[in-house]
Amino acid sequence: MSTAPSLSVLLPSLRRFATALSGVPKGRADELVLRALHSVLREPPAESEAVLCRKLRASLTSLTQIRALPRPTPSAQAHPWEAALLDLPVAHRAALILVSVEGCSYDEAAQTLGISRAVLMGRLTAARHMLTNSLEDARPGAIHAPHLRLVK
Amino acid sequence: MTVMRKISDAELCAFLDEELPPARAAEVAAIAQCNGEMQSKLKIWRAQDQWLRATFAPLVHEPVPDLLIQALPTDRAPPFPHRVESLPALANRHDETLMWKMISLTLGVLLFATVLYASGLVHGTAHKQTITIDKKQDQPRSLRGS
Repeated sequence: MSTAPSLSVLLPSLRRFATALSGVPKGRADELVLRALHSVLREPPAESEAVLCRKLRASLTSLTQIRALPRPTPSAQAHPWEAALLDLPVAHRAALILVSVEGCSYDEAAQTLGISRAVLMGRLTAARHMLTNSLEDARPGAIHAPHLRLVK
Repeated sequence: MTVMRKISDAELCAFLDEELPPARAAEVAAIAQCNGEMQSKLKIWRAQDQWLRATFAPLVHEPVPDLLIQALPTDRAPPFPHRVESLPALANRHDETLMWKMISLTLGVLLFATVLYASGLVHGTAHKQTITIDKKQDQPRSLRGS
């Protein structure tokens, strides 16, 4: 398997995943991608592009969790969901971004994060509830769903 | 009469993400259509997904910085100490490494033997010198005693 061409194809989506997941400026997100590349390329070559992509996304998630990156302050004009997304635990944020932004299937996202499909579904539901509640806090009455509660 | 299973929020999420089996998805769609609470949840979750995609999707169209392109392994310039190689390349390198190991080992043995031989010579000479000195020291003593 030729690694370089596969990686060059994967780089744009890896940068997007790193930026969305970490919430840091793009330059810092690129450093994370670089570290993930460094870490994954030390291992034996992946048997397919999908496996390589999964390993790199898993590495980016671990790096974001381990490094405890400083939380950027969203601007006053920012959407309430921007701050709420950064308030989510990294594991929940990763689940939501993998499914909603990267378009992963549940099985693919669960495999990437090393969790079961049921746990992934729990995290996705919790993440969506937390975003919903943040909007209600920021703009009371914006949604008519008083029954929604924070699910941890 | 068919009894419909209760729909959990996790299942509603899976319905939104098109992850339910077709038969169950049809059931959930039918129930959600008559349930304002579920419709409200689906509406806001769809809006969240749209916001996430609108915020982050354009990032893939940005040019990738040189920093990352240069980090990709190439045949001529491996960027990392542990280079990713194909199996035949590793096998060839293994042969070369083995040859160099054998040469180093031979040279090492030769060097060790030379050092051992040289030290033996030096030690032998010193021993002889000691004996000579001792003899010289003994000689006056024996002369004195006589």
